[in-house]
Amino acid sequence: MQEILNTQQFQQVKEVQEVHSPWLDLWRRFRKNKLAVVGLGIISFFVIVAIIAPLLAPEGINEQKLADRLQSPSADHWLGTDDFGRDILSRILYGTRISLWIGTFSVLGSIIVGSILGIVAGYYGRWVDTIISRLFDILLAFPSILLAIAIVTILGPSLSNALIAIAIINIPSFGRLIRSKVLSVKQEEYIMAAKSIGMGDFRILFHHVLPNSMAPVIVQGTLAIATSILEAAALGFLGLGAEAPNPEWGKMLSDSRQFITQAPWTMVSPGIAIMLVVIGFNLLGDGLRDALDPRMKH
Amino acid sequence: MVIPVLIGMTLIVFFILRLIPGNPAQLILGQRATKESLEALTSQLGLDQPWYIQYFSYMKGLFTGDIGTSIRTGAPISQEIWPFFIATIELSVVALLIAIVIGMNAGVISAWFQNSWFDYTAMVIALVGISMPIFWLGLMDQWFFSIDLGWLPSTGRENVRDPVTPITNFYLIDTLIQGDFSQLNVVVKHLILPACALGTISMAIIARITRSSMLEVMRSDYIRTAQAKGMRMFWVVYKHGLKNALIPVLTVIGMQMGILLGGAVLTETIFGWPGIGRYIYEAINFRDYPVIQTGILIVAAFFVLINLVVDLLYAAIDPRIKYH
Repeated sequence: MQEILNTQQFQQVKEVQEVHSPWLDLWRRFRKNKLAVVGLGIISFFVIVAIIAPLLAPEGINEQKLADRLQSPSADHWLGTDDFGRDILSRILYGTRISLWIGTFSVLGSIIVGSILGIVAGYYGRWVDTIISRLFDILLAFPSILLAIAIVTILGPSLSNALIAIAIINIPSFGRLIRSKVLSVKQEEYIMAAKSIGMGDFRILFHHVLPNSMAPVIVQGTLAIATSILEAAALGFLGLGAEAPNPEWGKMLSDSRQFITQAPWTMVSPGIAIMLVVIGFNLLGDGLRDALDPRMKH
Repeated sequence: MVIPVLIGMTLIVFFILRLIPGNPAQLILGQRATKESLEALTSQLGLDQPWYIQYFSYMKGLFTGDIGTSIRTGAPISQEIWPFFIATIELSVVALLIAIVIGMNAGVISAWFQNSWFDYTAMVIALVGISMPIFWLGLMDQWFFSIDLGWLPSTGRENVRDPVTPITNFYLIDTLIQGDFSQLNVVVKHLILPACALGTISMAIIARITRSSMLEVMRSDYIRTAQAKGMRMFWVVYKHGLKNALIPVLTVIGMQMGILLGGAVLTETIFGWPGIGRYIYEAINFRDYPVIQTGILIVAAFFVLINLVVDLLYAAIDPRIKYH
């Protein structure tokens, strides 16, 4: 009898835990937003495409057939061919990898550096805060693409340097966000409790302050991936990002420019690919913002 | 706040040239440069001095109007840059006006008729607008309206065979002053495509923020009171609603100037618009570092000043905000 009671109690406790699990709660609120689910669907589609690109692509990315150059879309080449006779669909599929890679890793870099600077500024305050905050102000005062151009000019044009440039221009927005969260979190009682039991600054910062400041960073990060992909494409378009023969979408658009009268289809699909993936991240970011907003809970 | 930010910007821009690995003079002149020409350029750029002396003379130059010499053309940048800068301002202002007029009205009507087909259509277009690469939109516009339909010129700012005589370098104003309406027509036609392409993202952002700000305001008691008094809905929305919803919209409009100035690099490259964006872009290809430095600094400083003006405008729109 006692055993049955215990099992029932255990079940009840488990159910209560499940109902109040923050992740489950977040997912429930997130899936109510149909557009956000569409965004998640788009991103999942592109991630799968990026992973299995070699299986999906009808041809290799650099398989040149000069006899087939600038072919319009057909049964053999669904999206046509470029000026080297390369299959545009195959290049778009492989290009997914580059765009997702550059978007994700540049934002991860910005989050890591921005978080460290934001935490240090917010937690220590005084002159450290003044210096870091002024640096953020100065970086934010530049139009972002111009700053990216300036950084790539210093480092030299390449895909990895474009990634670094995009990561640098996004640091201040994450830094500021984390700083403001740290300023509010450090007043909480549990931080004072942690201090009073003799916990060191480093442990407090990384075990208590950072995890409690992460919700807005996740939202901002998702939206920043969208802008990073656009910025990477813009740098590629200006010849400051990916080098040939990388199938980066911005570079593909730049290459197709000279055939605008002869073969306008060469510039349609890379643009649509960029737009779709950016729409996906924008919808996902908006959905996460609504789902993580405590005011939207009830 | 503005002055420390401006000084910080000069520092960043100053170090662009100094942070390049190796000798910048060698990079500019190439591997085949003679020792004499290398030494001459090193001395011209001041690279043989300690960095703080270089920065001091750079700042002195900025205050006295000597902002360097273009390596490519050999002309003083201060003379060369002005027409390019004005061309960009003209393009950006027209793009911003298009974005404000269409974006704000779309946002207001979407909020007014919330959940209607207009609202859904406008917001889908706005979502596509903020997600679209500006250079792709420019290329598609160029292909469709210039090459396919032949309605509008695809590149340039004027008819090269019959150029505008510059007075202010704002061609819209110059042609009006001269009373030359056929040239005004040509200038307007050249402006439409790049301005629409450049203004699209801003238009979408302004439409979205106006809608959300209006939705909040339209639930206020004073809106209900105005409706209860029997005021026409049009006036309730535009006079009472929009005026109170304007502060967040204005903040976003101020931020757009930065997006427009940055986007100008891409738009001007596509449409062959002789603005500061293209000037910087060409300088990058020629490794003309003094031009890159000065171009970026001028655009960034202009952006900071625009934001200052927007801050001051808040007080004019909302009397509750006061600056001391």
